[in-house]
Amino acid sequence: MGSEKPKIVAFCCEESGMPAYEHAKSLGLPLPDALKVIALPCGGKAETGYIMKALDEGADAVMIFACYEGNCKYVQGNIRAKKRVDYLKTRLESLGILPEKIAFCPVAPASGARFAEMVQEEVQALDSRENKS
Amino acid sequence: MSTQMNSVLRLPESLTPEIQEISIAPVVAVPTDHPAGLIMADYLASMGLKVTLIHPFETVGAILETLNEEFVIDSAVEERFLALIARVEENKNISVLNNTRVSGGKGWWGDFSLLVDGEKEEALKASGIAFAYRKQAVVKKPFENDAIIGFREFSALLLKGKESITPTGKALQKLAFVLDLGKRDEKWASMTAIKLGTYLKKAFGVQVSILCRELKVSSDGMEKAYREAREAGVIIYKYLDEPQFEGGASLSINFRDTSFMSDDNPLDVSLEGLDLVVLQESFVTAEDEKALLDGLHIGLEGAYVAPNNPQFAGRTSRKGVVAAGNSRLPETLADMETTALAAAEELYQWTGNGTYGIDVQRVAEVDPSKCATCLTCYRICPHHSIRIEPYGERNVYITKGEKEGATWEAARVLVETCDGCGLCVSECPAKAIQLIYYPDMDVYGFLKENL
Repeated sequence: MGSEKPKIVAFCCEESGMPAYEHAKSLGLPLPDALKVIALPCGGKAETGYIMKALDEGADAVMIFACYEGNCKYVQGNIRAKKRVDYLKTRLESLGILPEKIAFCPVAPASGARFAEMVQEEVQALDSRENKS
Repeated sequence: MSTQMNSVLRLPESLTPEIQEISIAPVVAVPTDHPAGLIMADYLASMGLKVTLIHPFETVGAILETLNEEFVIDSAVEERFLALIARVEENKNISVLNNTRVSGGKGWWGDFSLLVDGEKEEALKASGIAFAYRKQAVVKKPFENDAIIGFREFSALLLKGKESITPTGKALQKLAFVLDLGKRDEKWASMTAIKLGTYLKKAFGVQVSILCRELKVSSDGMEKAYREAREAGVIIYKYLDEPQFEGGASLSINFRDTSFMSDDNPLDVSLEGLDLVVLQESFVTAEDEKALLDGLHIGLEGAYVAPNNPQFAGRTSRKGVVAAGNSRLPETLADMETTALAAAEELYQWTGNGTYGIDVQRVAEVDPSKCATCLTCYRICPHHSIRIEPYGERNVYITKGEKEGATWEAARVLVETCDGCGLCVSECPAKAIQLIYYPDMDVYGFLKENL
């Protein structure tokens, strides 16, 4: 399956992240081969368990694509997701995992370019971290 | 790098399409004090629904008073609305409750009750609710001065012509918009200030300054408008602390600007000799609307869900309740009419056919043996479709009449109103809730296989 690195798991809100991913693909923007995309009905569905499981299975980074604040179809799903990610980051440190491995990324459904850009930023961040160590 | 190889887990289509028909009586209530309510009532009644129009005035015609306050109307518009009033009064499907205030509401889609006139007992039954209330615009002036006005007043002045642009009678030469004094997340004010500012600068050479905490460029066409404004010579400042106003013969504003230098190194700016200062208004929710929203567990932010998909124009966070009118944001007359029709159409889809097919797979389900009755899901559900109810044994829910034999209470998801968003699933500390169509194992399995 192409190059196996870097393994990025993207949890995508059905209302914003998924359309943005489709858009990025239809524009032919470069996305890493090993990007795993998981659709969720709402960004707020990205459970702690999902994120931890992804890291446990060997993901290099986990990204949660949700709607911008105030745009959630379910009123506060995106805010929930953001809070969960922020909390998880504080816990990851004590587990010896880099908190930078998870990222909350608000995205608009029609901005495939932004989607691809954020994934590329994550790839570059991973590369630079790898080079350092 | 290529774009073909990503593995994707999509939301499953319903496992075995299991559609349950529920009966919804075509009866709706329209509590309103806004012309948008009349539009909705007229549309719903013309589609054959039984409509109860509830408003606090002596006559239906009094609702039109808001029309003059909010919009500048000509005779054609007035005629159209008078015809609307006549239609509403004549239509046999509409029963009008004059002089009636809403004091609360409860229930679920298909079974709402509206409490009116402060009474707790006598409730008005309806399957769906479409409401539209006016919002009162409040200008928080630092001190009394005719040259300090709100956006709404300013628009009215502009529409009258250039001569009367300042209320003090002076010709307009220096103008300042001050935004973000109250609520900071409203995009409309940035948009309006930039567009009006550009227009005034270009057409009349007015010196325009815009003061804001942060310029919100995320709305449609805003970046272009912003660029145009900068090119036309509109000056945009960002302040951190609240600007100080000084009155007297010539109006001036003092503040620390952070747009020019950095946040740590602000620049003291003083705008002097202003002919007019336009302040962003704050909007106060009507009391009836507040009572309704509280009763229905919608809350102010849930009332006007701004989903990415504009086709759900009138949706609130609850199924069977739609909103229109300037309950949302200040909007033009055309916008108001379109939103009202869209909201009415939305409610018609839900309540107009007598029955409604529900995909009973596409919902969350509680395992009552695990439920700790912590009320987390009850509080978090955006559709308010989780109740705490007695169960007999595992997965057997006891109806109200049989409450005697109940063994324990646990959360129960109302299949009719659940939208399957999964927020409760991800927040449940006891892991007692699962989405039937998209169980956790799907995601875990995918992660195991693909990583």
